[in-house]
Amino acid sequence: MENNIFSLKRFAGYFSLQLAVSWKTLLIISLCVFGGLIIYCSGLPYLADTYIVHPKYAAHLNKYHIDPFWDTQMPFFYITFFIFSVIMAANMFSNLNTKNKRITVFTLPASNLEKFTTNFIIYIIFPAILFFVSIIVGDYIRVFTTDLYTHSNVYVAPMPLEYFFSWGHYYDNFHPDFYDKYGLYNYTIALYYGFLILMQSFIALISCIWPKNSFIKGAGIAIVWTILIFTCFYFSVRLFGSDIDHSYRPSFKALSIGVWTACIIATSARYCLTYFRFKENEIINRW
Amino acid sequence: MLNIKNLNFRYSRKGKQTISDFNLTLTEGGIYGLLGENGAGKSTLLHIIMGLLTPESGKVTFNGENTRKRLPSVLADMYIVPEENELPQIHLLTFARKYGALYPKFSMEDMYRHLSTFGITGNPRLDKLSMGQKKKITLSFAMACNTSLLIMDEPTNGLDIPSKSAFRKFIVESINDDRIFLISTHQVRDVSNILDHIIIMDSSRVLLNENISEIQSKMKFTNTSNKSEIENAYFSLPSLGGATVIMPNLDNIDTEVNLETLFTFAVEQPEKLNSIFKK
Repeated sequence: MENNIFSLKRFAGYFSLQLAVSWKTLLIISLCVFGGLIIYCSGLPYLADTYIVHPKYAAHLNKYHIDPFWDTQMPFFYITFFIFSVIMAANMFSNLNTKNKRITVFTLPASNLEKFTTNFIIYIIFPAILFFVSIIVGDYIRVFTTDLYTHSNVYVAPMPLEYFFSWGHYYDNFHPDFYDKYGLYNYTIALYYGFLILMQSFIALISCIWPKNSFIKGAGIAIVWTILIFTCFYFSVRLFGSDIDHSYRPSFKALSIGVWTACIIATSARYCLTYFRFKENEIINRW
Repeated sequence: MLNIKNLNFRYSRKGKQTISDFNLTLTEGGIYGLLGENGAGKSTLLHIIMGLLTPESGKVTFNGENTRKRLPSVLADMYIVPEENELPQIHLLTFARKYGALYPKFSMEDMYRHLSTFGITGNPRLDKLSMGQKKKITLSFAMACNTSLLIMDEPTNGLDIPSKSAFRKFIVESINDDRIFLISTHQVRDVSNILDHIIIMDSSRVLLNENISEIQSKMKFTNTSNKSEIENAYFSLPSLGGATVIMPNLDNIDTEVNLETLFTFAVEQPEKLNSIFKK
């Protein structure tokens, strides 16, 4: 009896087909991401005179080995990664944006799970890998190019991934009054990545329902939904806030775990919904 | 076997009923021609058969499986050539290799043979081709997939005259006892010689579902200027020098079925047509 749910051989064939069809688009996106980050990482320190010897950094140079540009590029990486991930999620079902493309996709002999997984890998997983590799490459090229014009007593080094993933917490002492052991940085990371995967899954769902202009429609709905949620939250606190036990202060660790759990559950539920919506898709949009 | 049972479909809740209580069975070994007026629901029916649209009620099964589920094992044995083609921006051989890999019975030799007959050579980029060339490639690929059910929606649109002849030849050579070809078309002259079963539909029912030999045994198609023959005919259409008539085939001589006249007869006098085949 044939496996109609997931066959590795069939999945490989379908995945290979989608890569053959969209490799040029993916290559252009990759070149743009690489190029953009290389230009930013190499050009901005020169234009901003980042590597002049500055008293703020001089005191830490020997003790903590912090490159002055890490702090500047890290927020930029986070913002652009967020925007890039959401835009790619909005194109997750771009192969369904015309009737003829839908006929082709839906009549190809692969299961819905195989087709969904292919789109997920190409538009969710691949952009994340691409971006992180681009950060590393851009950063190393920065180190190479800044060597051409910096002073010899300035510390120039590639940004460690621990620095990137710990939101600037590095060797425990960069901002000693601000971070604790399971610190605010862990909670900030949880908030950032949790919100990222929530937005990605939401935009992916919108892309499945409306493959055309899904980014604009998704962003619009997200804004309206966020305003509604905050309005409800505000009035709830105003009405019932006095009943809350204000003496309870959860630790950052508990908050991080709570945020991760909620976001992972919500994201998984959204992707399940997206899959079932994709499965029921027709060649026309009824609404 | 393709089985359509009690099919109902409309595009929107408030819209008109596109297909109403439709029933049809197609068996292997037949080249079926699907004819109908504009808006009768032919393309809609073909899309429902392929599982691309969800019916309100009723079911379409192919070899016992519900086609709406779009199971890979069923899709691997069905192919639709749509009316309008949108081919990816890749080269022809890449298209054949990548898409053909998903169809177990796909034959690259057949693909080359059909392409050669259609006059397509080399390895062109598909998005740079004309509509007619894209149609030829799609037809060549569809035939090379060797699926048990091959559905074609207006397959001769955009084809030049030699290619229409090549298309007819492919169809006749490719049919066997395991395959069903379903051709929906308005260009009846392009396919009249190859069909062996005629289905004429409107949105609510099948007006005619008979094989060609049965039609030929009951009806004679001829042009005449004899008034008495025109009056006694089942149906007549005015033409140059008299009328094109459908008469009872009393002397058991098979004549070529005039699909245009038969279609007009079915649409204008369906009850009378039905009564001829019920006798």
